[in-house]
Amino acid sequence: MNKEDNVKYSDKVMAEEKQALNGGEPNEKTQAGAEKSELDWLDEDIPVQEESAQEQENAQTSNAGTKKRKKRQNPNIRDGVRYNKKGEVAIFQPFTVKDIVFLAIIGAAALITSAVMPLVAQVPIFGLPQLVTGLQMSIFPTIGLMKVRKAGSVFIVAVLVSVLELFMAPAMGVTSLISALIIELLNIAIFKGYRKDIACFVSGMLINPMTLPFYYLYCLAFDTNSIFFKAAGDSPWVAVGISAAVLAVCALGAGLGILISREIRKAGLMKK
Amino acid sequence: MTDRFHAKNPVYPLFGFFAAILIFAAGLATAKHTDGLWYLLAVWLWFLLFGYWRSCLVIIPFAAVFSGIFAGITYASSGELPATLAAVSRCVAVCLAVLPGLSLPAVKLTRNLSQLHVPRAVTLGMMIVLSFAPLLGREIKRIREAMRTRGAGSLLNPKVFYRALLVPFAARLVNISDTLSLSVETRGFCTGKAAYTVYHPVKLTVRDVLFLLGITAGSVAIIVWCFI
Repeated sequence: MNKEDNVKYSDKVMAEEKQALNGGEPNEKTQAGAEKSELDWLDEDIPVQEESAQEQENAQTSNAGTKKRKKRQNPNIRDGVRYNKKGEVAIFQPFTVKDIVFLAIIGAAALITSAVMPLVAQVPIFGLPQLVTGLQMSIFPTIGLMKVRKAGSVFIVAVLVSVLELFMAPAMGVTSLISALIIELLNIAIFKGYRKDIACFVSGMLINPMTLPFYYLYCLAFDTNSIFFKAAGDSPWVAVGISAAVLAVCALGAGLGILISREIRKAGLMKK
Repeated sequence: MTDRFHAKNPVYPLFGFFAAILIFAAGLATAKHTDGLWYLLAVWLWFLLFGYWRSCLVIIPFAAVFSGIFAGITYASSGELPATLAAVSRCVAVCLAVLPGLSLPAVKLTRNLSQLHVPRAVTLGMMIVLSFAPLLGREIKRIREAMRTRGAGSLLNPKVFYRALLVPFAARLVNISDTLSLSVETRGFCTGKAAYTVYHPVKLTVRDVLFLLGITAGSVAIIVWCFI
């Protein structure tokens, strides 16, 4: 006996029972299904009990919470992407935990590979620490930008790295922060974000060389006894040459960063 | 890696941070004066007094080698004893400024900043930077070991450097970040304005105030002594 036969059989039995209760007369109303009889409660759904005062109150509170949440949610953000009033993708995108974690790891990698800097910290040549750390300080941030591609990424990396730098060399921490801020402003003005690879290349290339003029200005304002400041004053052409070399090394690093991230993307490891 | 340098009871993290800036500034400003070295010695003793004995002892050989190298370079280039002493002072000042950071567990600094309502993105990122720097150092070592096993060749060869070191390292970074972000998200971390609790709040004590007062007084005194 299949399921359909089972249903038919039970309907038949129910109709017979109703007929017996009505004094042997077949209930036409029930059979026709036009009107309800006394026994039609069998066909009805179980009525829902009325909500208690406490339940109603709870429901109201949860509704209010949902409304508040809806109010708090930015209507311009859909699927994690922020849109402007015109409906275009906005320059400033919200950062997710994934982005912050990746940028922090990139910052840690840049920091750990720059550990050679103290070895040249006391050599009186202007820009030598930047030259030594140029490659790693451009490769890793460029990889970070190629993955995250959100305005403010360079500044986040700079904040995370400079917090550590402030403990060791406050001047470097301050100059890193200022230069990162300027790079972000330049990027927004020229490229409007990191959607293009060239934007990642330019920002990644400028992170280290940009600290040079700010470090000079910092020394001019606060630390005229600095050996680098004196070195720049004693042999300005050497300082210019080193600055050009820093720019070249950082351009190479940013290029390598782009190549590496393309390879990783091709391998399927780097997902947006 | 730096766990063994952590002080048992470090000072209030933000005070340690200010102390590092003061020591660095005063040490560099007075590097040319011989009295500057006495100031640095006093700072070292002050750290020792406040329970930083482990990092204080660890820093001695490092500072000796570090300042010895630069003293040698400076003496070789200038041939002047005062310039050499100034180089030594600068190196020792940098080493002492590193002490509060070296002795501070990363989680304490993060808790302190969380208490001060610093954005979650910064505190979370900072904790990752502080705790992952040693781990990434180990990753580089592993990749170099793998290179040796495969007989990849010298790192001075740009092709080997790119193909056998940079690309695997970057791939490893992406993998670590994906796993870590998943782990962080499952633990309820988010970048939004969600309320959170600091389980072990860092409290300011009289000891911390005394520590910072001592460093500030010493730094101001040495600058006044040397320049006024």
